[in-house]
Amino acid sequence: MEKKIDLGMSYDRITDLPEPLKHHILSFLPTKYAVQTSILSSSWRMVWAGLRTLDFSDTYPNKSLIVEESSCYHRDIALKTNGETIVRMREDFYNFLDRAFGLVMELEELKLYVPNFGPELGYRVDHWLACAVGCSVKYLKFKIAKWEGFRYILPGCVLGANSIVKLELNNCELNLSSFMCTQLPSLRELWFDDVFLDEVVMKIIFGICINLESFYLRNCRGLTRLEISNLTPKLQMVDVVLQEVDLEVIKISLPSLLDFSYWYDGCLSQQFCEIDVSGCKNLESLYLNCVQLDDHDLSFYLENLPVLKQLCLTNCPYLEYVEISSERLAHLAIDSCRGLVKVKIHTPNLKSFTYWGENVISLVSKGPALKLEYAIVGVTGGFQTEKWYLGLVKLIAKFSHTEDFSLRLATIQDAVIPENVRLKSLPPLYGVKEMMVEIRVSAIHDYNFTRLKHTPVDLVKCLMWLAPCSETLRICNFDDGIEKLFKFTYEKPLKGKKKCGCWNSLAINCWRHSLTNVSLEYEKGDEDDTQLAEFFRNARIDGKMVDFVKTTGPEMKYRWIQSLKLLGLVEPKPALSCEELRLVHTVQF
Amino acid sequence: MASTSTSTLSRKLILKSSDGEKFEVDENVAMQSQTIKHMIEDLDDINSPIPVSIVTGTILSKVIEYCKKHATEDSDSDEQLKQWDKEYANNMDLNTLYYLLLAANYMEIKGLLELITQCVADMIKGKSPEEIRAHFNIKNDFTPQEEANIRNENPWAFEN
Repeated sequence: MEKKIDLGMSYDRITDLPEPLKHHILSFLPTKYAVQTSILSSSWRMVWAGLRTLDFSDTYPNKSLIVEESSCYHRDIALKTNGETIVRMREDFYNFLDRAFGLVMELEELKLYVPNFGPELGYRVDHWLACAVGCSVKYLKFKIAKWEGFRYILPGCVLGANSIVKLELNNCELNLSSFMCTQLPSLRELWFDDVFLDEVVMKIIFGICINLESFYLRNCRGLTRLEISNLTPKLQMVDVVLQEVDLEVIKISLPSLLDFSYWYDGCLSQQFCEIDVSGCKNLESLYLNCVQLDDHDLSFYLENLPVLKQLCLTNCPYLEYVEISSERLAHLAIDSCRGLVKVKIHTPNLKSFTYWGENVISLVSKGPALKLEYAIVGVTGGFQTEKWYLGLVKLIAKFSHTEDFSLRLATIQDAVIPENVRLKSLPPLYGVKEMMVEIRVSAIHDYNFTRLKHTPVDLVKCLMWLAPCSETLRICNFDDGIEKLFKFTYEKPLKGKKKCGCWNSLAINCWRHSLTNVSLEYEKGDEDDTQLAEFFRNARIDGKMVDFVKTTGPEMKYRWIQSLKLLGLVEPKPALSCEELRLVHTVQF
Repeated sequence: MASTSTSTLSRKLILKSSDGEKFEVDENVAMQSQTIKHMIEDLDDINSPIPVSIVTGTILSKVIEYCKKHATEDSDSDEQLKQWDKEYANNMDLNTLYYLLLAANYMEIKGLLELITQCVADMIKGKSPEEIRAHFNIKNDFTPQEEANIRNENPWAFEN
């Protein structure tokens, strides 16, 4: 008998690949896995040494051995139980680094995390960084732990490296000895995370980074004033995130700056960082969280920032009566400004509006009705009085011409507008085509969970009143993973035919006169929606039957990520994952 | 008459594989390969077949499938395109991946190169050296002693 030769799988193709392709493949992996390939066969023995990107940010032998300096308790426990192993593993790793930096000839990228630091390690770390710089590294990310009060001082070679385009430093100290040269012409992007430095050093850095485009500051020690002026003529973006208000003043006066963002991420305090960016005449995006900004300051900003396109104000407790008049403004978001009562806008080019807060505010818009790409209104404190409901209806009625509208409320009751209020008003969102309603309260605290799962008919009825011509209606509670999507089909309006006349002054055909099909998508499909089906089937005033179909929908699309993005107006902060952002907001709510 | 003006005026090119198979493709599809782009610039007569000398017809047809998908600027969102890429790569056996990788490298198609290298990297990720050898049919030519020595050089990389 002849054996069939399997041409496909039995060859070792990967070993035959040209070296650069192997490097390309291994560059996608943390370098630990690349080093592991040295054991595959003799041809793989030294492949990793040719890598041009080295990633030692996540390469520790055993995750439980990475003991962050911040958690003393865990450190003590870990050291007691595994002390010797930790010390040995780290020593192994450092020995490896000593050898590796002797082998590597050229480097594009180095991510290096040194998990502990003591004075005896300093010269070795200096040597590794010097080797990386010697290999013309372009992107350097360096993090080192603090140990018993010792701080690692960045050696002069790093800030003397002509090749570095992007530099991220975490947890080290910069002082006058950290400088060797007068210019860093290649550096475009600079991240300081928990870096210890003072004003003088900061000024020198801006002085030598003449081509810097983006600067990210994540906490800082020793710096009380951040002043940026013409020393960095190409700087376009400054992004500051603080957990403690160490920084007292930020003053930037730069015609090149397009994007400024300040996010205070710590406990609410009475202490505020004083921010002045009014000298940045070309600023397009301004994002302020937790700043001492009052109505007067805001109008001063708006007067001085004539080309502002995006404005996001969150947790600014001193805002009360906000007046925004701007030709260029396209995106406006206001979130959790506790004192806010009224917003008056004159913004002919506005594309989106987002409001999240405890109270129903009053919104006045000068000029023609707002016709936005999307709008989001979230009100967290429901009082459920008639006045409150009337205020809510009046607020959202401002978006009657906006096709994509999202409403975020705390409880189901907040969304169930009582009949006496409905009789007094017209359906506020008659132009909305895509409607989303999010109920915030989590299942754990609320018996309504089961009610949302089995969507209550009175909720749907009210939502249909709010947006009587909507093509889709999405009802969700993301904390519980509930997302239901209704899709509506209507009879095509006949030309010349009179509208149904349910609402005299509105020239619309309401759903009770034109609905033909309803399809309900729900990922889990385990709910009891017989009442809902009954409600829709018999909803037509003229007695015609409406088709009701239920399908198990696709996976949830997590629109909250999208809506957070919208709220942030910029991409989610790189320092915070979406999950963290969500936590931030959950806490606020 | 209006209908004729809607047809695209894209030129056609003929690519010829190493085993002589010919493929007619739109210029914008072929131009995703930097190598072909440079070849066309030096070419006097674009009607003559362009030789893609190291790529066989079977592989070239797969390369063209990828380029076609990425040449059209239709309504596909980034997400849909990513999904398509994923399925495209997952449908290949190791042998095909190997030749595709060489082809993408030779033809300088950056997107395809990234896609395949990432796909192979994902196969390595999370596997022990033994599993990697088995997956890719790599023959271990080390003696147990040699293997132990290498492990001892870098214990931090091997211990989990």
